[in-house]
Amino acid sequence: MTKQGITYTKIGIGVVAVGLLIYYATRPPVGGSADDPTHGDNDPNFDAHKVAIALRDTMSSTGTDEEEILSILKFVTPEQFDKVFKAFGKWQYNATLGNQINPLGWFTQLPFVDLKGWLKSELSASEYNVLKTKYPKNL
Amino acid sequence: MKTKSTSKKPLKKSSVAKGKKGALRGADIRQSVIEQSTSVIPFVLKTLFVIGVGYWGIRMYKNRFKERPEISDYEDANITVPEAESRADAIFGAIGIFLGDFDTIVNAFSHPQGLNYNAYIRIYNAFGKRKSTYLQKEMNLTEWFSDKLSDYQKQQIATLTSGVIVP
Repeated sequence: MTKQGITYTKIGIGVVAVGLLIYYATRPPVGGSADDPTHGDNDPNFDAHKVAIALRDTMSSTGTDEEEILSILKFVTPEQFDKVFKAFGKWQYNATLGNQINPLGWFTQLPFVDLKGWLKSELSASEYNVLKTKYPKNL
Repeated sequence: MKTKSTSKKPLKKSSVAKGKKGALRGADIRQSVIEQSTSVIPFVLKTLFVIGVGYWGIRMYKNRFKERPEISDYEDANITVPEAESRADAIFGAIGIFLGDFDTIVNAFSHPQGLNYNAYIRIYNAFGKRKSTYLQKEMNLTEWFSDKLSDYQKQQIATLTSGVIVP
């Protein structure tokens, strides 16, 4: 090999070594994303109000889509759920019918119920236990 | 009336000798074949043994339990290893032979602040691979869930664990 060839080989090896160093130093942690999916509130795009409305819309009509509720909350961390809980506030709710219909609208007003009350009424005890286990602070 | 003679012509001496030689050669060949076969048996047995051991080894390697790594960038697991082991045992108790109370499985994931990522991984690793009966194949936690839970229960587990343990 010529002197020039040796020099190019050395440069090539150096470039590859530096490239590997940069790759291993900056690659994301093995088996997970950059953010912990179970805790924290690092997602700047997370909109607690939007999630709260989605939950209310799912639960406000007669008949509950439990799978939809689970789907909405799948990647919501306890810290984010705390925000959702506050954003939800209290909405009028007919616990007997499981919706917002008030058949005695002329005489009485439906009670205002928070997210905990809505979920407790809409879900079975076992289903509610799943969410209570995930969000022990609020449920 | 002429009768047909049934007596055969006497064999020539040379043909008798040839026959004897042939018979001897045949016996030699048979003996040789038996000897060869006998000498091959140990080789076949050894080969089968090596293949068997190799197959068993590869199978053991392929079916080994692969621990999922805890991620150091996330907060430390909020349960200890012995706690994770007792939770894994509780889950196995509820799911092992017959599917017991689903709430028992859910409660194994409970924590005052909610379990974190590394805690789920710790339980998964503590569970390892288990089988309930001799004939059953060993399965890890997600495989057990996948095998025993309904689709809706699997969805509940996925939501509860924020997708960390997806059956």
